[in-house]
Amino acid sequence: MTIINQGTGIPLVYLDLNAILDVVSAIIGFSVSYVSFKYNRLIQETVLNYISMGFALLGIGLLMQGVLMLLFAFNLFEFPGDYRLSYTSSVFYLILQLISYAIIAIGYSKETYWPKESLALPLAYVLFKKKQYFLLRTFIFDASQLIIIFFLAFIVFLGFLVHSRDKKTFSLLVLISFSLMLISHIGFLFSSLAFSEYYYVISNTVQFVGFLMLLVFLIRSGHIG
Amino acid sequence: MGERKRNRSRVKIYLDILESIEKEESARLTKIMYSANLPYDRLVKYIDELKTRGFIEEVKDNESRFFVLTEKGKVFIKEIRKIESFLKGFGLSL
Repeated sequence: MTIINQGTGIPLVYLDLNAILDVVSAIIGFSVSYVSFKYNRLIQETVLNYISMGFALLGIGLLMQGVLMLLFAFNLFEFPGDYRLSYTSSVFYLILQLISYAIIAIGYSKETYWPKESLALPLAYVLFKKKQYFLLRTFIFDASQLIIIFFLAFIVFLGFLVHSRDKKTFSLLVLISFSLMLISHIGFLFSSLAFSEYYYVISNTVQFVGFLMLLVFLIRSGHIG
Repeated sequence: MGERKRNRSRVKIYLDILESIEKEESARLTKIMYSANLPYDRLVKYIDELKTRGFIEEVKDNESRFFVLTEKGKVFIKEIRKIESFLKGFGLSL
C-alpha cells in the first residue's frame, strides 16, 4: 500500500527517494567543486574556477531541494500553507541550476574548439528578459528547464568535442555524466507538462546516475578511495 | 575556432623532469635535458627549484653528477598524475 503525504498528495516514497537522490548528488557535486578548487590553487587554471563555482552552486541547489523534500516528507512543511515558501525555494533552486550550468558552459567553452562568445547572445537575452521571466509565475519552471536544457545541450556538445579529441575514459565519463543530466532535465520538463510525479522520480534517478558517473570519474582518477 | 596552443606549465615541466629521472632511476643532466625537452639554462633553473623543494637529490659519483628522486618527489609525481587525470576529464591539460 502506498502511503500518501497528506500535505502534497505525493506518495511518501517519492519524496524520500527524491530527497536521498538530491542530497547524495549534492555531496558528489561538492566533491567535484572541492577537487577543482584545490587544483586551481595549485596550477592556476581559470577553467577550474568555473567548474568549481558551477558545481558548488549545483550542490547548494540540490541540497536545498533535498532538504525541502525531507521537510515535506516529515510533514514539517504544510504544503498549502507554505506554498509561497516552497514555490520560492523551487524557483531559487532552478535559478541556481541555470547559473551553474551557464558557468560550467562558459568555463568548458574556454578550453574547447567553441568560442565562449557563442554563449554571450543567449546569456544577454536571459538577462535582458529577466523581468518577464519572473512574471511567468508557474510557467517559470518550464521556461527555466528549457534554458537549462539549452545550456546542457551546449555542454554535452563541448564534452563530445573534448572526448573526440582525447578519446580518454575520463572525458568519456564526464560526457556520459552531462548527457544523463541533459536527459534528466528533458524528463523534468516532460513530467511538469504531464503533471506526473512518477516521471519526476525517473528523471531525478537519471540525474542521480549522472552524478554517480562523476563519482566514478573521481574514483578512477584517484581522488576518492 | 581551433584548439588553443599553449606552453607547458611550470608543473608540467616539473613532471617531465621528474618522470625522466624516475624512468632512469638516476639520471644525468644531459639525459634529462633530452627527455624533458628543455634547453640547458632553463633545465638548471628547474633542477635547482626541484632540489630546493626536496623532490630530487644530487648524487656525485667521481666526475659525474646524477639526480635521484626523493620520497617526497615520488609522492609529488603521484599527485600530479592524479591532477592530470582530473584535468583530462574536462579536456584540460597541465
